[in-house]
Amino acid sequence: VSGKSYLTFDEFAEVLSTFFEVPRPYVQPDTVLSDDLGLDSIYMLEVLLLLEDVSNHPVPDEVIDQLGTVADVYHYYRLYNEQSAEADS
Amino acid sequence: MDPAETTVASFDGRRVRLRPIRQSDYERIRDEELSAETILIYRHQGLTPSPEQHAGRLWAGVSVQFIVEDKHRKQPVGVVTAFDVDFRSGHAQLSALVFKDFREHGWPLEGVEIFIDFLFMAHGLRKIYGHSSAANFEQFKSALRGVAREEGRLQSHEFVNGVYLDKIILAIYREDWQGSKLTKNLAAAVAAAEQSRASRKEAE
Repeated sequence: VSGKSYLTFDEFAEVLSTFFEVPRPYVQPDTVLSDDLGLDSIYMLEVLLLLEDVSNHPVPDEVIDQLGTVADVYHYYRLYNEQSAEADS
Repeated sequence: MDPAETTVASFDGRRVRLRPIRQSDYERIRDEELSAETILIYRHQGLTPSPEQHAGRLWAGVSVQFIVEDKHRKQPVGVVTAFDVDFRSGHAQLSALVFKDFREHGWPLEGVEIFIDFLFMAHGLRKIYGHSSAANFEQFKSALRGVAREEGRLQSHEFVNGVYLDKIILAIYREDWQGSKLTKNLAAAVAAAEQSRASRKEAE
């Protein structure tokens, strides 16, 4: 695995909390992006661009459709990081 | 000026690109504009122009207009339009339509970002206006975070689906746009946190 240090869920949630200006306690694994965090289309674009940065590939529509909660986003963040690390090694 | 210093317009984003509208796009655009979700709040305001009338109205008052296309699948996902351009005073009206199948996905909005960049760069505009129905505004409210200013609100202005809704007038100023685009780069924020985590680990 490459030397990249990806974030734990808590660290990831901390970044989301700061970035989206939502108090940290509201950013939990089951927090719904649209209803609970109030993420609009522009913020969803941010999430997508993050995942594309990590994966170096366009995120498929099927995956975009599954991005309902913070845990979903973190799952793909980890998965794409692991896949990128494997591809690099 | 050194030609190397001139800026070249880019129509390419990460996920989408802007391309000129072709005659073969007209039918798709008409279908989207006259769909149930769009007909009352977009260009034709509830009217149904014939295919021939539609082709004319598509360009009425319009100065710049592009198809937003998915770069990878070469598939149209929306239209961006600048109309009522006032070059003397340096402002224009902006509208954007994301096609129905892509509305939930967010990423076609990258086309709006590229378009605004182009309008400021190519036409030297000072200010770009956008109008939003209160019904739609929730989808774009984060644009107010540093990039768009609410400049007016017409109370109970539009009759949509049986109710009168406010119409919100937003303005994007060139100076605000240069310092802050629609997207603020969550990827960079995460990368910075990863970097800081790696440094901490190294120090341990």
